[in-house]
Amino acid sequence: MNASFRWLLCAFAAAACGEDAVVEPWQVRSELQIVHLDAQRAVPLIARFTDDAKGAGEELRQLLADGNATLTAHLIVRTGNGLRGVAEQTTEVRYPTEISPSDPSLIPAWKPGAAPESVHFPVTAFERRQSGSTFEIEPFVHPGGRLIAVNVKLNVVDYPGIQRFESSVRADGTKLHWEQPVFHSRGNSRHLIARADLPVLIGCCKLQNNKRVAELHVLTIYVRLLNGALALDSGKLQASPAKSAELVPTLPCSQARIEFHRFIVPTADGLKWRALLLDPSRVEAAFENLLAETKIGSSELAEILSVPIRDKDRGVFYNWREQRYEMELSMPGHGIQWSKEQEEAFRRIRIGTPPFAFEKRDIGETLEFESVHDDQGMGVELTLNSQGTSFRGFARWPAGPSNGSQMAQTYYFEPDFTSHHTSAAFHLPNRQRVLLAFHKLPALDGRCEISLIRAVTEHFTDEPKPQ
Amino acid sequence: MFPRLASVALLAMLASAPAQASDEAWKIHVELQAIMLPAKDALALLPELSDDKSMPAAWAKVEAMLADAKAKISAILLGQTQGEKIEVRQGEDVRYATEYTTPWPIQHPADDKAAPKQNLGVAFGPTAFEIGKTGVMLTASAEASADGRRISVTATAEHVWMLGWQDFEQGRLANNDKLIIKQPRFASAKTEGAFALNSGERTLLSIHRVPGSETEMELFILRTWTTPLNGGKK
Repeated sequence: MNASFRWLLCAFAAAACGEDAVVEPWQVRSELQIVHLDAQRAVPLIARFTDDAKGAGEELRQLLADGNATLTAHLIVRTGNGLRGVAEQTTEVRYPTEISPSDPSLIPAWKPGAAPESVHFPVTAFERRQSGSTFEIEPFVHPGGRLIAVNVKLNVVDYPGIQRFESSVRADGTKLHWEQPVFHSRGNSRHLIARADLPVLIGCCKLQNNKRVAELHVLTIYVRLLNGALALDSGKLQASPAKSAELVPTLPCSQARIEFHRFIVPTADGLKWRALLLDPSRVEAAFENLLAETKIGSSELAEILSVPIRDKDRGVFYNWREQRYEMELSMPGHGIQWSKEQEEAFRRIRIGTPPFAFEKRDIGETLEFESVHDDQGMGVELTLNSQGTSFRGFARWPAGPSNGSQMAQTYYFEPDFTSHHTSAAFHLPNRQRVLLAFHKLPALDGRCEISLIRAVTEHFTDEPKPQ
Repeated sequence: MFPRLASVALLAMLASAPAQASDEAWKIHVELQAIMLPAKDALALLPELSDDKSMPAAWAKVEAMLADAKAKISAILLGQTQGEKIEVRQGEDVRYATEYTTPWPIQHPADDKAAPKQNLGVAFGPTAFEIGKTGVMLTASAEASADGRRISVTATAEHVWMLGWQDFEQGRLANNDKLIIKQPRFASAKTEGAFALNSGERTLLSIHRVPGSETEMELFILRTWTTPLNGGKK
């Protein structure tokens, strides 16, 4: 019998004696489902995941079976206790990131009335990016097998298509474009506690390219002690006791589900809603009414974020659309010295200012928070940082020719962003919805956005795993 | 209290057991089957495939579907080890250009005075290549328990597909024809983990949509088993 096996047996014996910081040889199967469903239908289901996880899981299964929800990914990871596993389903997207400005020497001398000449704008660098889902998990099974503390990291990226940037207009009026990809990404990275065999909603958000649809990230963890696992020299299949001791919580402990909703409503209505939402006795009814109004269409449910967070822990959830924009532009006419004939010709045509480098900015919502739960389950001390960025569109700026010229004006385009930011630390009573922020939106004339937040705490005790 | 004491006593007995069991040597077989089947059938089978107890019955259904040609095998990868790392792959190497020269006009020979003045065309030759590996790949290392009944596995299973070619515009000719370079588009499904199985047991490693298909899914099913090596003695 070799040394590591003896160590394992001794370690397990210590666990049986009730000592902590020993990793039992559990086998863990983690399944993550990514589900799309109507946002209206998702709101009550999200709340149900905290109060009745089993019922919520069954409801979700029924929605999938009836075709009222779509399973977009089902990722499975098998690992030993305390070991990291990864599952991913991705598609590689390649796109040019740098484009050489056309070499003036390659552009033939201009002749008035001439047919368009050939142009060349070589791509000098490509990037690759994975779209799809990547799921990493590191589970730590609490002695007894009922609770699992997990380090989880999920990143979901959509590639809905390309965005075209005008690079120039040829003499015959043909427009030339650069194509850049558009990505939507969301996900989170955190510690959380899950109950064996019960689904836990680890994240939820709205789709950036279809605001009527919500996406749910549902994790279910199954554990088993391999029959006769003690006969296995599984030293390689165990995390270090020190790491396990750090991540497995001491029971009892708690976790809170943070629910964040953002509505966009006409400003006149928003002011009325604001008064109701500030009143703790009327806030829940106002929330229900706001939801109902989104069905009629006078207001919009712009975002739903829902994540669990452990006591004394911090987490980040994001739902972004990457907006690319031109960063460096060629000089109009590619720096060619214009002749009289050219100037004459340019009265009838426009020239471009081709971009040859791009930057990106993340549009959407980021919720970053830290929480400390009170012992009586009365609420959560929340330190919160909520940021949102919107893209208004491209502003048009003149790019040439010079003043006084009779040539047609050309333009370059720069993005116009608006953003809001709320940073706060406050006590959030358990299950009490509160108005987090109220912003007038410059991007949407006459409209404002209302952000609401709620925390629901859940307690975990040292329950034995049912046989 | 008593079960806990009993387990401690059992563990103490095991820990002090003679070392004869470690003299046995085992060859470990690792088999990955990648199986494509209609998404509807795959999702219906998923609860059974996911549960270790119902896996044998679910596997029998998969075999029946294979026999009826309702399911198709993408790959069967088989490896053997006595503890060393196994790498098995079935696939294709796709070579593609990553860098090109500046386009230049293709001209008629200078001494061909009868040739028309216009150019024959434009060329931009590739100057650098990369290779993309497609197909199903299994990387695994495994160790057996002394009695050969349990196997610890560290496995990575991946299927890479080439979805097609993507066009990138590099410029325009005078007649407005586009100068295009083509780049490949790959998709992959991958899972990695370290876990333990009983010898002979099958387990579902992954279920994923087949890229480009709305109606088909693929299963990765891993099976490991041991056979005695040299009569079971090291």
